[in-house]
Amino acid sequence: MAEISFREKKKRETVTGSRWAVLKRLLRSVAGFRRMYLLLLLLLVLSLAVDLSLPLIIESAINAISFADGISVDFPALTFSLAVLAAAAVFAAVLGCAQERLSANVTLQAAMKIRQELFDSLMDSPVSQYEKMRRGDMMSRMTCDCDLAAGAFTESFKELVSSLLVACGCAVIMFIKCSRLAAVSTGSAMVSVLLTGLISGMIYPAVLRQQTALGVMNAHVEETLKAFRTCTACGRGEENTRSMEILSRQYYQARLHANSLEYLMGPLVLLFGNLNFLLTVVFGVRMMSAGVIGLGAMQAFIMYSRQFMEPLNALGENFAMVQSALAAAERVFSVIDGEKERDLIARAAESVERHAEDRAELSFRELSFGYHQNRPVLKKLCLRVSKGERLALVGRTGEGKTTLSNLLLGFYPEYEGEIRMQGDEIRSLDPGLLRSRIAVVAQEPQLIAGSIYENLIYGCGEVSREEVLQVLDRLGIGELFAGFPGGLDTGVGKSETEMSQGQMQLICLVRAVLRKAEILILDEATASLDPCTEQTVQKAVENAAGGRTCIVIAHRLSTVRDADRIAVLADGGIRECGTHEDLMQKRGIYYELYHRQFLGQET
Amino acid sequence: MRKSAVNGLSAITGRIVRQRSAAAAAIILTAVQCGMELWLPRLMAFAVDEGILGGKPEQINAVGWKMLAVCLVMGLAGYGANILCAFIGQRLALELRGELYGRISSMSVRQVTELGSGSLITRLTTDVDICANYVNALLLLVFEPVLLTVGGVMMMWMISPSLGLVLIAFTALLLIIMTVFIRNTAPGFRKLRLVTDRINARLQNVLGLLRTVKGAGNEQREKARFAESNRMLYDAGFAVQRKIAVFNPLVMLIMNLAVAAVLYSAGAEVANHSIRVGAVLSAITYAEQILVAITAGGRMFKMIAETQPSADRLIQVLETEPEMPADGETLGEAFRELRFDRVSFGYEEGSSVLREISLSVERGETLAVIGPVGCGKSTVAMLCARLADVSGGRVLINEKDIRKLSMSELRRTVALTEKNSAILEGSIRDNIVFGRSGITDDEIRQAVSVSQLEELLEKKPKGLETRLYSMGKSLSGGERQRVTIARALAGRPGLLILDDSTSALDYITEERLLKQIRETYPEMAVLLMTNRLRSAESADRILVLGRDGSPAGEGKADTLRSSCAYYQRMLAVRDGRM
Repeated sequence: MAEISFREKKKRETVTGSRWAVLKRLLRSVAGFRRMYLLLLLLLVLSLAVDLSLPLIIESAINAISFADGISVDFPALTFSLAVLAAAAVFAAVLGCAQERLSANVTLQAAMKIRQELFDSLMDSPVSQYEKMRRGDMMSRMTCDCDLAAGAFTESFKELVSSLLVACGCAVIMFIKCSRLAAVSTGSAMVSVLLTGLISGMIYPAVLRQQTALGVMNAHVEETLKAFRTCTACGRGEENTRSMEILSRQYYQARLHANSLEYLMGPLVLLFGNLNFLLTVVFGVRMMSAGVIGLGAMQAFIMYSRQFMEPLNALGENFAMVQSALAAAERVFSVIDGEKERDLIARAAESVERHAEDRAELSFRELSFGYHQNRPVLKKLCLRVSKGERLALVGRTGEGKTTLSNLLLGFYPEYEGEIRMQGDEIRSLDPGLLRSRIAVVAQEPQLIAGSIYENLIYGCGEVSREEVLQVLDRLGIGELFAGFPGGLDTGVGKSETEMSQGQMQLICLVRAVLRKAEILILDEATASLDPCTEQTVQKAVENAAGGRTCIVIAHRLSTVRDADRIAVLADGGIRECGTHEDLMQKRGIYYELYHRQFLGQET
Repeated sequence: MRKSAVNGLSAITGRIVRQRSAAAAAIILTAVQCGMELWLPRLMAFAVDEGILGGKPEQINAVGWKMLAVCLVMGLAGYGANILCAFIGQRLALELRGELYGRISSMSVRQVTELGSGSLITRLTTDVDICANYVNALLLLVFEPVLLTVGGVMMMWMISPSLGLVLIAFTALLLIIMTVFIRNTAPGFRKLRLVTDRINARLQNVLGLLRTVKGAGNEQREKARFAESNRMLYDAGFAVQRKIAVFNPLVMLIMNLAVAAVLYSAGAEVANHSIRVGAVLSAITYAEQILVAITAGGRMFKMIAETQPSADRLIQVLETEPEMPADGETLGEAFRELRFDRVSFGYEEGSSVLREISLSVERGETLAVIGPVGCGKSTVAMLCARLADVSGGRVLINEKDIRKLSMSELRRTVALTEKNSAILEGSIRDNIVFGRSGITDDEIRQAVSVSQLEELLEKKPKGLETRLYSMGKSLSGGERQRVTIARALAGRPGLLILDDSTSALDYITEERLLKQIRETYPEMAVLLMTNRLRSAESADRILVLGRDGSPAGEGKADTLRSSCAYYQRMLAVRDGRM
């Protein structure tokens, strides 16, 4: 299981990463809630003070019961003590309510703030970085990690403060009352806390193994269920079930192993608590018979030593909580503080000439780019497109046609050479502004969750419904959407099975037409349409495009024949360029492609 | 969500019976633990009363040793009970996962789509975990508090009936408050869950669409939109939390008041000499023990509220009967012919995608299916591979209804490749073999060569062992499609279906691929759904579907040229006559 050990190592690295830096970052993020945290601190201190006073009040009550010889009862004193006790309890409850409410509020607000920051930075992150992340992973950062970071932070803030105060307060009171008994009580408590801490440290590797096994199993579940259709069609169900059985059992074993250690903690804590109680009682009774302390004090000691131990025991748990909060915070902040698209573009634009004399609509000069190092897709490509021109880009699969459109949109600013739009290097333009001037219909149509109508007008600014209907009519596809149960208001994004790829592509096409951008890029935009629908739509889109510059990327050469110019992309550069007739005469790559497609002849 | 006939929670709880011996042992151990816990205060009272007030200090040490023994037994019993509960919970989870996964595997694509693969993933992971934790906690959070409460009250009663009554009164008060509280917060929790689900669904969608969002320049709008959702999440969360904030302080208040009440009545009892002072100390301890136990038990209510929906979701899956049982007959002979006998199909009642389609494709023959957007080409492919069953008519292989065939036989005979077939994490070889046994290296090599993958493999230093990532992220669309075609070919099916699965290939590559399929696998029948007229023409026959899913023409390319209007239009488009 080399895979597992690798992941394990990686996990460890992130856990032991600079925790202080993450903590500081988290503090910076919640700094805006400083006042709420201060108020919380105040309430905490107050309610702890009241809590600490309760055993003292109970002591005086018990002393009233065992008044003098331990047989007669001092009723006025008892009633007074109990009245004070009741009043203090009510006061403590009121404080407690206020404190819990405040802490819930500040936690939720902090989580909300961090979540928004995360979402914003996801929206602002460069496409290249973003697409490396798994969607499930991003979701868990958005949902669990934000809550965990904020929640565990507040919780551990509270716990740490109150542990410290309670432990110190108890110790002080106990030592004042009877230093010998206090020494026994606190000493045994410290020893037991140290022991539990030591044991819980030994559990960590087992828990890590359990988490790793869980991760592997969940990955299998996620992958096979997402690919359910393919797996079913290929009869892989049984094989998947077999793997699942193995992974599930591995997790089960790892989990039981971890549990057998983890569950040692509860009884152990209880045992130590009782031993402490025992020691306090045995020594306390001796002290009592020696006349050093009274019965009330003995009861107070029992209560204080328990209160003293509790926060110390919780310390380990608390530490784990802080750890997980920091780990979650790290996952969140690594995205929030990651490089933003704007910065990446600005960095890439540093050394480029911002403006050029040539005011051509689009010009690519000596453009080189590869997604991976040493594997260039485009090599010193040069291409010039003039305003209102209709340029077709053809070439074999994997030659970088789509890459060109991705570069033009500024998704990958780390290219060499230059891309200019009306003379301006596109990296020197604001990416939002740049994209508002270009409308792309991508190869794989994507729909947002919402109605068909919302999808049609997505990113189109202000458009009226009439305008949308007009465009649909002009494209001759109005009736296509009328067939859905709710017409244009039918919800999509969920039941994608009901909508064919072709229909989804049409939606994206209409969206592009409605956007009224200066440049229209159709990247295999009609590949999922049958030729007849394609032709109708193509013609209509061209009409709608009016004088707009239009770049059509296509396999099907029938769609590009009428283009003003056809550019053939091969070996990372433009190898041929000209009208259909020019290229046919040239008898080059295009000629060969064309013959294959239409005449079925090898040339 | 469809309401299940069986209450999910009780079904899950009922499963504990399968581990009855472990459960019984856990209960016994818990009882021992509680007994010891209740004994401890009595020993303390004895030490105080006899040791100090009775004037026999030598008793103290003896009692001390006894207490030590009691503590150790208690610790051991507690640990044993904990481990047993963990075992029961995890065993249940293991079984549930196995059953769920097996059940999902045997479902039809439609059933899985209806349940939602995302939702099924959550069910298999989070929901199973929640149920396991619930079962695990059930024994600890129910038996322990009940035993402690009953035992504590009894012990108090033995000390003094009036103290017992005081304790019963406060226990009842706490129970009432807890019930009211849970009733009060449940709607808030439900609402929070609803809001969370809705927002997550939308979030999941948007996070997958960054290119679209950026391309449309909609980042700011999406941010604002999310801010709104975020605020809703906060509001729903705070509405619940502000109520919860009252709970702990309230419980503490009751506990403190109970101590005061116990002290007061204990004072009266001491005054009329019915109890001794040591008993007062143990009375306070009992009161605290019981109230702490009840509060812990209160967590169970929250847990039940949380577990209920999870359990329902699990049971819903387990109760979903697979539409298509896996067993059936074998073909008993090589593939000869696939035939559609007046097949109709609709995704749901009333809708109709295909109408009375008849077609046939024989061994060694290629049939192309073409037609406008939404005509049901993919549906034909899907029905051949029995990813769904026909609504009317029959699909026959060698004149045998495919519904009578066993699934494994059908999968061996018919291989479906789709435009977006999935790639799983693993090597290219794994993705070609795809978990099937008995595929030889020769078959793989042949499939790789026919599907035009050699060129790709040459570029990769590790060749067939090159690791692919989930969903084939490291491959281009065309490369993904070729891997899935190789996968289908390696199994040497009787019928190969290419449902637009060459759409991302350029024409030259596609043509070479189709030609080599014919040359290398002369026996194979091929069903080709395509939007490219050029590829369709290379087939032996062409079936044209109309927009409404009815047949619009069938025959050789030449025949269609003269008889089919749609085909003529396609030709005209291609030749630039329109």
